[in-house]
Amino acid sequence: MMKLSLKNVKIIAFLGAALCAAFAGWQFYEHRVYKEPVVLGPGVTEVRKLSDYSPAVKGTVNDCNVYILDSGKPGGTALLIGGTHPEEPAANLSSLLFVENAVPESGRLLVINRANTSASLCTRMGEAYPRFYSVETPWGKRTWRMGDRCASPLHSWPDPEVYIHYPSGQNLAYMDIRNLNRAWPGRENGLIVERTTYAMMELIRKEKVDLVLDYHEAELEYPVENTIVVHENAQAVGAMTSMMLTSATFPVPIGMEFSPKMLHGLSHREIGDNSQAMSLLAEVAEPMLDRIRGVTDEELLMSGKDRFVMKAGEHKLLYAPIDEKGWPIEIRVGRHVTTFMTMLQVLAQMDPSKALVLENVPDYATMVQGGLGAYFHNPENAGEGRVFYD
Amino acid sequence: MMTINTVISLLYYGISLFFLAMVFRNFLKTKDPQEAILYCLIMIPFALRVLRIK
Repeated sequence: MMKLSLKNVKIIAFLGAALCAAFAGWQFYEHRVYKEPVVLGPGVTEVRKLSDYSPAVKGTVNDCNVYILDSGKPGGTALLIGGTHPEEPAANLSSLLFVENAVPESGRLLVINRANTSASLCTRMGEAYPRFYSVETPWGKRTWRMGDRCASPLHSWPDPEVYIHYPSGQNLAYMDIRNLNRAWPGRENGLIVERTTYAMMELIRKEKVDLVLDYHEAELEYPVENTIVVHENAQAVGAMTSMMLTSATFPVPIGMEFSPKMLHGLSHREIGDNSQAMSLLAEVAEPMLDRIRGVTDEELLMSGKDRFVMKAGEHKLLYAPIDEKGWPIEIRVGRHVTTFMTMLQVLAQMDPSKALVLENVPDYATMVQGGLGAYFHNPENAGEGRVFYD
Repeated sequence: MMTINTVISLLYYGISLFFLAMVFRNFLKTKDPQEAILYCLIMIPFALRVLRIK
């Protein structure tokens, strides 16, 4: 057998390492530069940038699109926030479903699909997340980036030893300075995520938003699950929505919880404290976030089926039920979309002058039975100027 | 705050480049094939960081 010289071993090892670095680098790069198409639905009347409301995010990766669906008739104004945590796909898919389908009959709807774009461009270290996820549609596959909970360290680094929340001064974990739902109400001259929430607060104030809903998903091991978290200014809307959906629509109840007054940085607390808007946050179960899950792939992400999480459920270790049917994306998005629609219904009953009436939005049963594919449209068939990218 | 972070980031990339250069130097100098392979593996994350890929 031929014995390799030291020089040849070094050449082979160096080329092998270069190949590994190139392959890994390509995988990271492909994920980071992938653009998600957004096909504007018939209800979208304007697309703005977040920096139109505050220059704090101008030129940064988090200068996201703000989709405006304006009926041109008097009524309420609501803001939907998707993508606060890009590892929670039901959030941005739900907000996107409104952008591509909803038609307002009265009032205005503002939508952000990628509130923390930076976090959607990286992955959670050590978690082996899939890079992308897709939904089958009648015309083919539609694909989105699977991201992390916090903004990319490439855009916000270093983290402090302890994150001191502004303006409360509360101490939080160091990485939460990159977590959009710990950085409200933001700071004009802060790091990128604080700037992003500051700009969104400016949007809420300048557009005189009446109601804000921040979409999330949570692991079944976490107690804040399948619930609506409300600021005290949104108590009536949250409570009525919870009762209506639990009694008539959702097989698994949706609860309501108050936003803790002394826990700062979260949207349901700070938006209500720092603006005129009612502030709510919706949670739904996502088994892929559980620590005890099995293989972490796109199948688990979209089907929500995992035998290890099920086993934990059998031992009553979870805060949400799970069986062999899992928590498929249709149910998760169906719950989020229907929750928002019910909130609008309650808001209109409480104050008819704040009515925001949306047509062409599927109901819960239709989404669960028929899937989501029909609601995400083909960018190639969209008219000129009707495709944007997040 | 942004200025301090930018300065620290630049220092971090400088440190990463320094370590990459030192590991590469050791890779060239070593007479042990096993060490050479090890140095190659160590260089991968430093290279990806310096190139701002990861």
